[in-house]
Formats: sequence, structure tokens, C-alpha cells
Amino acid sequence: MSSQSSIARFRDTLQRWGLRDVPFRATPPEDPKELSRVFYGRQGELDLALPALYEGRNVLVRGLWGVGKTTFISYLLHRLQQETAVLGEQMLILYIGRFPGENSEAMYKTLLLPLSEILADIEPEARRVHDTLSGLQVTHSRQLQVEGKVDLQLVSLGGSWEGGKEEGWQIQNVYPVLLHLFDVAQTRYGRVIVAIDDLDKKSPRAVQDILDDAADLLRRGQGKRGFLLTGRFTSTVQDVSEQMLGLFSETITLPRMTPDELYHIAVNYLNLARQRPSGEVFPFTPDVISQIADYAFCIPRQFNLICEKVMRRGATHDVERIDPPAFASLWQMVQQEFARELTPEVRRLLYIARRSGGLSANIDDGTLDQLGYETFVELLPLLKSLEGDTLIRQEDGRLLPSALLPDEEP
Amino acid sequence: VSILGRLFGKKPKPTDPEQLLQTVAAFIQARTWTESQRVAAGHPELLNDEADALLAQLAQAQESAGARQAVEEHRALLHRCREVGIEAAFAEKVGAGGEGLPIPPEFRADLQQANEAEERYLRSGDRAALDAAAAAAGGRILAHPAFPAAPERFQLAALNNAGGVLLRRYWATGRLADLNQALGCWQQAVERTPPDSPDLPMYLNNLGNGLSDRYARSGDLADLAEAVRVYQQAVERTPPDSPDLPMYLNNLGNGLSDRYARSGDLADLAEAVRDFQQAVERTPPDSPDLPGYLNNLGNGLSDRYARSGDLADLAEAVRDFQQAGLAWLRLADVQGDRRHTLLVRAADVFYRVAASSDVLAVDPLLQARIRYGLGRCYYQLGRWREAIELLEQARETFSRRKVRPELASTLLELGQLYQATQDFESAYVYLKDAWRLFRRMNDLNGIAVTQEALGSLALQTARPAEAIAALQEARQGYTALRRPDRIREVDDLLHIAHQARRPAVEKGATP
Repeated sequence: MSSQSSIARFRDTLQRWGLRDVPFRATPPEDPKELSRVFYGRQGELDLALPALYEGRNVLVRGLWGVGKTTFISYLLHRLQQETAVLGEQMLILYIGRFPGENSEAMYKTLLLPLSEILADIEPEARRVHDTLSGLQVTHSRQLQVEGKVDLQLVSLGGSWEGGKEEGWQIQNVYPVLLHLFDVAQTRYGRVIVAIDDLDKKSPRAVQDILDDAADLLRRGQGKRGFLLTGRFTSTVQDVSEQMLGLFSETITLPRMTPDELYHIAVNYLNLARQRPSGEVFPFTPDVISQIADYAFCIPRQFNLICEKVMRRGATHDVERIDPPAFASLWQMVQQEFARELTPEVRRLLYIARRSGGLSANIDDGTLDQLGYETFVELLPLLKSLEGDTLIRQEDGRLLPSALLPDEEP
Repeated sequence: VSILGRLFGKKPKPTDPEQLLQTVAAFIQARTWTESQRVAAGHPELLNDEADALLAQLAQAQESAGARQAVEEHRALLHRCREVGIEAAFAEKVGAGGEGLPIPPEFRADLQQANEAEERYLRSGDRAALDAAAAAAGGRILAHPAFPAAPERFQLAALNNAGGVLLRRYWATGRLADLNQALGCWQQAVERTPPDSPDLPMYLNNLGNGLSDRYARSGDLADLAEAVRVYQQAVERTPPDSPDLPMYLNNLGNGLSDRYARSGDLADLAEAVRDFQQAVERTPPDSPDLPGYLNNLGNGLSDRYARSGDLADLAEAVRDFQQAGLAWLRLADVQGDRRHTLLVRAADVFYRVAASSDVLAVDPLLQARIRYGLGRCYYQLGRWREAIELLEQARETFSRRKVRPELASTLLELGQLYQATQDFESAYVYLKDAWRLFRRMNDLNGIAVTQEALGSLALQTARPAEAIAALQEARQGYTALRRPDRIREVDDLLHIAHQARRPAVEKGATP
């Protein structure tokens, strides 16, 4: 069968399903309007976080890998922007995604980048900083959205801050400069909200160091500057100390979603690709969606990923409707493809993890022996490389393979 | 209390066993006999049968012969105190320098004053106390009209004592007259002591020390040559089984090393290395003198490597420095008042070795051990980030080489460090690994220490139920190991954990 006919068949099936494309994605849509269309639930959490941020207080959002922290804070910031604009008030919202470096100075520089850009026209210090930072070898992806008088700056950085050092592009006293520009921004906008996502993807020690150093920054602001941070969550020990928790007015732990919530999310995603919105999950049947929610352990990222993969295989194989019999065969295909992509070391790890009921610091000697390791610490780099991946999930502080791993060991 | 109790017909109060153990420890660990005497005088319960039984148990529990001998020596002294009284027993013990030395009554007051003043100076650094000691030991006793008629052995011991106090004052003030007077005392003592006297090696050694100090001040090679000559005599006249021999050998080695540094004569250096080696071989492993001897041996071998380029010398030097560092670290754990000094000394020796990349490059395990030692020093000196870096490097090597005991200890240190730096997640992972390894090796002390650390971590991260479980296991371990000091610490933590648990129990949780 030629590749051209495969594409044709894929497109025909999608058309028959009434869809332009396969809408499911493991990561949330970047466009806030699209995000608003797929977001569902978490109303209680929004009701806690929105007033706190509006008042310039700090909020910590925690949850398992894939539970939807980034989706939640993206939507939260969008809502904050809209609701503040409706009130006719000004606000500056900065969203920082990943940034290079493992210390507080790297974080401060990242904050300086959008701040100096926004304030360059009204503040000479901001102009100087902006000129300096724009010479650094840091890839800078930024989206600016303005809703009324509220600026939402989305920034994500790649590369390294090191490049500038050799060229003499350095900012002395980064922290005082940052505080000064925050003051200028607060005078200009009234309120400044800073969201720092993905901080938890750095090593626990780096996070601790950054938070220790930034404690002063988080405490200042006099109700005009709030921080929104995301954090991981383990059942054994917290990644943020009690002392640090004292810096946050609200600590919001996002639970897994219910099957009903995931059903609505599936409807919302499908409506993104439909000509006419509907309340149905077609081409899936409701019981298949329920089955997928179960396989995904009610973790949204896993759920979206499985929906995407199953739907793609279904479209390629010209399936009329993804009902339980069709799903059974598509699911087997997805599992086999998934297993083929694994390296032997990872495959072995996942099966041993499944047999032993999960891997954690409480691992027993027998499991370590099977894995060929003397200590759990030695395993950490491998586990770290799988962190946030679809291969593995967290449950009660243990790491288990996802449902994508076939039942039968090769 | 027991004597008064007998006089007034009252039974002495029963002694708290833990309290008694503390008193016994203070008595044994006292730095000087005068301090021990003060402990004994303040705690008459040390003269009870209970204390005697405890000392007997303690002696039995010591693994090394040296430590056992030290405990037995203290036990025998307390026996003697019961027979002749504390003052007389200690006078016999320390007297003017030798056991069983008769002290004429007209000198006792000055002698006691000299001892007490010197002790006061050592404790407080009070220069006036040192002057008082010198005035009594070096002045009044030697100038006393009855001195020339006192027993010869007492006179010699008094001269030796005077030399010691004057030398100490020279160290404090730099006044050369004190050093010269001290040398005069020792020269007299040496000249007048019969060749077969057991005291002669000590006087020779002290004379050598004084001459070495004068050489260090003046650079006069004649002093150094004379110092080496008298050190050699001290060594030759000391029986091979004497506990003083390692010290005399070490001092001789130092003299020869100094002479090599001036003359470049390799024969001196070779002889110095041989003396240091013998000093090390003859010193019990738990002796506080051992790390210094090992360090000197390391220095001698390093000097020889610098001349010959023989890597075997450097490798041996690195091993000696490492052992010296570890021994200082162990001492720092038990000598609270000298802890910082000993840690700095250990860190210094490890740091110097870490620079010997020629040897370490070919022996990664040795390199890991050096890093482990330096990491431990930095940890205890509060340089946590550097400590983590070094210990992580060591852990990787121990792990790769599957050196389980050192891997377990490194994981324990790292777990505690991560806890100190508030990286609780890593702390838990590392401590759990340490606990697993200690358990596999059936290392009861390691298990107990790690459980205590896990309990403390659980307490700090607001998990009192887990803290109680871990601490109770630690307590059981320490009980089996008879470590009352640790049990007390664990009990304190358990008390806090139970208090923290109370609100949850009141809400219906299992206590």
C-alpha cells in the first residue's frame, strides 16, 4: 500500500468523522482562546487562586506529572487577564516557562528580559538592561497578548546565559536592578503578577536554592506583586519545605480528574476540529472514553495522548467508529508500537517496576538486584530521564509504567 | 557522700546509672591527672562498687588493647583512692613525675600550686597562672633550702617539671631566658640521672625538645645536632614495649627531617622515615597521637618522593595522610573542645592530598576515599555545598566499585547533608539507601544511626508517626549497642514526635 493512499485514507476517515484533524495533544494549546475552549473543571481551584493573585499574593500550584499544572496556570492567567480588564484595571502578567541555569541569578535575568523590554521606552535603566540582554545567546520565544489594559507576556528561554560573559555583556547587581524595574512596572501598571512554570523540572536542590535565594523577592511587593509557581508532589517528602510554604498565601494541589471531567475534555478537544460543535465524543463511544480514562489513571496528559494515538491509528485503518471491539485492536497496536520504541534497559526497568508494584526510595533488595543496581540513588538519573514522559506515572510516591506498556513481556 | 553517709548512719542514695556513666566518662576523658583528680574529688560515687563494676564492664567492652589498658589504669587508680585517699593516690600517680615517687612534705604545697596553676593556664590561657606555675616549679621548689637534701629522684623529677613549665612559658611569651633556663634544668637532670634509670629517656627526650625549639629560633645547627643526638639516646634507652617509645621515635624523626631540610643529606631523611614508620607501627590505632605520627610519616615520604621521584613513596604518603585525616576526624567526634582544631587539621591534610593528582589518577578508589574524608570535614565545618560535591563524587566511585561499607557511610553523610540543606526528597532517598546497605551488612551501628536520621527527617517534614517508628528502631539499636548518649538524644526526639503526633491522635489516628 502506497503512502499516498494511506494519507488519503486517513483524511477520508477524519472527514467521515466530521473532523479537520486529530485535535488531541499531550501539551495544552498555546493560543489562549483555544485553551479556553478545551479547559474544563478546576472551578474550586480557580476560585481560590484568582482573588489571591488579584490581591498580589503568592500562589503555589502542585500536582503529579501530567495532572495539568501548566494548563491550569495558563488558563488561570488568561482568566486573570480577562477579569481584570473587565474591571478596567491595569495589570502586567509575566509568564516564564523554562529558563537556562540552576540558580536564582538565572531566574532574575529571565525576569529582566520581558520587564526591560516592556519598560524600555519609559525607563533608561530598562533600556540599558534590554540592550545588554538582547546581546546574549539566549533563544527567546515570546508571545504578547493585550486584553484591555492588561499585558500578558509569555516567555520561554533556551540556550545559556554564559555567552555574554565572554563578550563583557554583564549586568552588575542583577537583583537590585530587578527590584528597581519591578517598582517601575508597579508604578506603571499598578499590579504585576509573575508566573514561573517548569521550575520543578530543575533538580530539587536547584529549586531549593532558587527559592531560598528568592524568598526576599517573594515576600516583597506590598500586595502589588504576586508570584504563581508550580511544584511537584510526592507522598514521601515535600519538595518545598514548610518554611518555604509560608511564602504562599494559597497552596493548591491539583487532583487527578474524574472520568466525567475527562469526558468533557474529550468533547472540548473534538469540538476544536469540528465544523459544528456537539456534546458527543464521536468517533469514540462513551464506554471507550471511560476505558481510556481508566488506562490513563485519570491523568489528563496520559488521557490526551492515548486518545490521540488511538484516534490516529483508527483513522489510518479506516475505522468507522471507535467502539470497544475496534478500540481493543487499536489499543494493542498502540501498545506494540510503544514497546518497540523502548530501549532494552528502559523496557526491563518498566517490567520490573510493574512486577514489584512500583519503584520508590522504599525499593527492596530483590528488586534492586534484579535491576543490577546497588542503590536507588544510582537509578535516579535513568528515572529522571523518564520524568514527565508517558512511559511512567506516579502513584503514592511510587513510579509505575503507564498502561501503554503491553501486558505480556517480550 | 558515702563517707558522710556512714558517719551519720544513712544509706547512700542509689546512683543513677546513666549519670554514673557520664561521671566515669568525664573521669577517664579528663585531659590531665589534675583534672581527673578534680572529677574524683567532686564525685565520691566513683569510689563505690557500682563505679568499679561499670569500669570493669567498660574495660571489657573496649576493642583495642590501648583503650582497655587506659580504662584499667583509671580503675586501678580509683582502687588506690579507696585505699589511701584521693589526694595521696593522685600524689603517688603524678607526684613530681613518676609513679610511687615520694614527695617530701615541705614541697607538697608548692608542687600542688604549680600543678593547679599550670592546669588553670591550660584551661583559661591566663598568663598570670602560668607565671604562678613557673614561680612555684622553677623558683620556689628549686631554690628551697631543703631541695639539695631532698631525695635525688625527687630532685631530678622537680628539675624536669620546672623545665616543662618554663618551656610552656617560652611558647607563650617567646622569652629566650625561659627556654635557656628550661634547657639548663634538663641538662642537669640528664647528667645526674643514672644510665639505667627508667626516667632517663624522658629527660633526654625533653632536652631534645628544648634544643629543637632553640634551633627553630636561632637556626644554630649545633643545637639541632645535639637534639638529634639526645633523641637517639632516648630511643636507644627505651624498652621496645614502652608506650613512650613511639613518641621518642617521632621526635627523633622530626629532628632528622629538620636536619635533612638544612643539609639535604638523604641518609637523614631515610632514617627519619624509618623512625616515623616505627612510631606508627608501635602506636595503638585509637591513640590520639597516631594521626600526628602518620602525618609526619606522610611528610617524610613526600620529601623523599620530591628527591627521588619514586611514585611508591608518594602513594604511601597519600595513604598515610588519608589515615591521618580519618583519625583526626574520629578524634574530632569525641574531643568536643578541640573539635574545630582537629577538623581543620583533618581538612588541611585531605586537601593537600587531593592535590597529589599523580597518584590519585591511577587509584580512583583512593581518590574517592580522600574526597570522602575532605567532604566529611567540610560537612562538619559547615561548608555544605563543597561537602556535597565531594561526597557525591566519592559516592559514584564507591558505587561503581561496589565498596559497600564506604558507600553506605557516604550515603548516610549525604542524606544528612541534604536534610541540612532542606532538600528533603534527596535526603530521604539517600538515607533509605544507606539503611538498606547497613542492613545488608548487618552493621548495627549504621542501622541505628540511619534510623535516627530518618526519624529526624520525618519529624522535620511533619510526619510524626513515621518519625516515632524510625526513632523507636534507632532506640532499640542503641540499647543493644549500649550507647546511652545516643539513647538520650533519641528520647528527646521521640518526646517531640509524640507531642507533634498528639493532635492527630486526638482526632482519632492510631497513636
